[in-house]
Amino acid sequence: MNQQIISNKQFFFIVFVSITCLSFFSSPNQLTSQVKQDLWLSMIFGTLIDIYVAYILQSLGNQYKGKTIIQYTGSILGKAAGKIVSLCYLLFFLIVMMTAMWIYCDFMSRSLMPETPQLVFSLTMMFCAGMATWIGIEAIARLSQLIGAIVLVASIILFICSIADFRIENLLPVLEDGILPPLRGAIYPGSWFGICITVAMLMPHLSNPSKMFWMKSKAVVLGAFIMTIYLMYSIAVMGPDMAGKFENPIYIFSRITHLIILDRVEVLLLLIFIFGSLITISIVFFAFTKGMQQWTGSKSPKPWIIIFGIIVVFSPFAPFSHNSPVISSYLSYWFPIGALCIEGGLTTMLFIIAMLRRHTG
Amino acid sequence: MFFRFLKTCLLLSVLPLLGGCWSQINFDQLTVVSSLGLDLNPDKRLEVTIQLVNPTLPISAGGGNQQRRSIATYSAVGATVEDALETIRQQAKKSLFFPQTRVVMIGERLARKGLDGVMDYFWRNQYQNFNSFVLISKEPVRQALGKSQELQAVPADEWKAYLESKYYKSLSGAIELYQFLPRLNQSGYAAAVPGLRSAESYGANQRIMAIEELAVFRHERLVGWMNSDETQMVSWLSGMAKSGSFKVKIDEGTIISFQMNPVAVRLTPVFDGERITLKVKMVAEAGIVTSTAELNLADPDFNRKLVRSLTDHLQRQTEHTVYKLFRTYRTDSIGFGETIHRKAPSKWKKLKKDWEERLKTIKVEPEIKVVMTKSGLLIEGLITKDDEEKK
Repeated sequence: MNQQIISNKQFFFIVFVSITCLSFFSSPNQLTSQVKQDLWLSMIFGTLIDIYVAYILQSLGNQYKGKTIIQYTGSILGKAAGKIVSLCYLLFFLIVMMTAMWIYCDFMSRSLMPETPQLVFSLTMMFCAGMATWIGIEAIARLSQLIGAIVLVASIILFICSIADFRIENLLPVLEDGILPPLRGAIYPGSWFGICITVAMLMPHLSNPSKMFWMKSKAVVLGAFIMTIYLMYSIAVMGPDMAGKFENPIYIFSRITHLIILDRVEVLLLLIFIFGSLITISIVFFAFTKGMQQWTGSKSPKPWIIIFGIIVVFSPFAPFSHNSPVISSYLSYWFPIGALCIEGGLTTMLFIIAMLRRHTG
Repeated sequence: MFFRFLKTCLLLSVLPLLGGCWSQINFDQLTVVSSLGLDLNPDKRLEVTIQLVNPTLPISAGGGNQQRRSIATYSAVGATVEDALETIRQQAKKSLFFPQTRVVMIGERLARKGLDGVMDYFWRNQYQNFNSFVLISKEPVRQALGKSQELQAVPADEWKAYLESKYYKSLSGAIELYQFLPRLNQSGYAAAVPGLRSAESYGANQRIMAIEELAVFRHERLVGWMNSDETQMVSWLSGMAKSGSFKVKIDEGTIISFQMNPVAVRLTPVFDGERITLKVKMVAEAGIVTSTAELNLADPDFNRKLVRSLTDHLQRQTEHTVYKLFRTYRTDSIGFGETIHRKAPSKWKKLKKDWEERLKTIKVEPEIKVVMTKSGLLIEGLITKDDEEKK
């Protein structure tokens, strides 16, 4: 079977949509409540973390051309250690997917359709993401181009229409509590942006893999920029006190603002971001099932799509998923720390060992 | 071919889900809540009143002979807002639709007692309209919502249109729910809400409501009222409005009404040890709307006198308004605390603990600059009492 190939432009949109939609559902809550008007600095630090990870992945990808991270981990660390480390990556992909699915279902159920069982959200999302993964990376890439353009255009229109409500004084004072809170806050965007280590599974599918770093950096910068503007608008319109109290201040901002003559445009915005989440979940699911195929040596990723598709559908019913203290400490502490250890720590370790191996021949 | 057909059928089968499944509400069961009112009943228990839109047919569609009113009001008492709303749902037998609520009305009695524990409902409920305007009713909310009459069939629509208008913003001091809620907990920027009362001159049968005066809060409690001129000054000083109108008595028998647009205000804190001075720099363009006496604006001396009178009046009004807020009511509805927070964050950390006590000691120094602009249809300075041209 021929390997599916995607263009660099399609790759750009995959990363851009993943960054914006992941950030929409995940980091606003911790960032606005803890860092408030200085969150732009956290977003810059988070972006830098991700660009660093992209550089490492580009170097590793150049060294092991045509191989995914699951494959070259074995080449770098040896068979047994490679299996263990690549299993860590696979488990991480699975945890990310389940967490993203849980956040999505929880948000939908609490904000938009409270009477609808969460299973309906996870089932429909997983059905679509599973179909996209089944068909392959080309289908996801084409869809991401379409959704990426919609996200960009809709965001720009919304920003322009909200200028009248924008009160710049709400963004002051700058660095009220010093640089430490924004630095600490950088772990939230950094960990969620870092999920784009899935690109290490996509590199063999790129038409020009040598440009991966450049395209990914551009996409991350644009995605982070759009999300930073969304968050800054939320604070500028509502004020830091109000924005910091809500689970998702961007959603509340979309409820307050007007789109030309239209009020209550939140459904439109949610629709766009739900489409985007489909891309995000599809791409992580693709990376995970492809990785499972390579890790187990099976002929096709399709059985894994079915098996893990069913598991992920039940994410909203995971243990402690409705236990507020557990969820709060998981999302604000354990997940970001764990994600950064895998994305930054483990990947850096692979990079150093690969470099040492190359130099020692 | 068969599999493609099967796939298409499978995808099409998802379409019915788009209808909204569990959260769907039949249209005939849905009733838009135009106003939500909160008050204390005579037993001092929380009373919730809602004004529902009761759609009537337009005359062209045969609705001319309909006798029913375009609104219906329901009231219930409860321990919480939701508790009372549950009772109302049982009475109205309808699904209440809040996302289009135009006005949240709070009774003066409840506001004076304090809104602690009441407003939590608005923070949590996902169906709230954060763009609803907030009003404080001087009379029982149940009466204000049930008996009010306006030109529009649904009174809340009329109130919303008035509060939304940029021409009346300085006079009304309009505030939306998303601005009101956080200010209840802020010491550096307290809430100020327009008042609503029935206009006396229309008699008991015609309940025309007037939106006037401004209720000022200290945290979650209403502490006093500001009159119309003070309301306008609060709107300018807090940056909520950039235009307005003002009347000044120049001398005996000469009263001039000015249209002020734009009005730019900058608040600057000046620290001298423990002493804080609030410097108010106001730059306004003023045009004459009407005068009770003949004016000769071509005369530079008269022009200077006019500007000086207006400047002095604005200066006195600024001092009076700020001192009334700071010293009489000990509240900061112009957001001076937030100005200090933005300009001197380290100082604000120390000041905010006893900000309300410090307000009494703050000195106000207004610096007003007025620029007269030509306005209206007259050729300034050329019209005399006898309509004769000056030689």
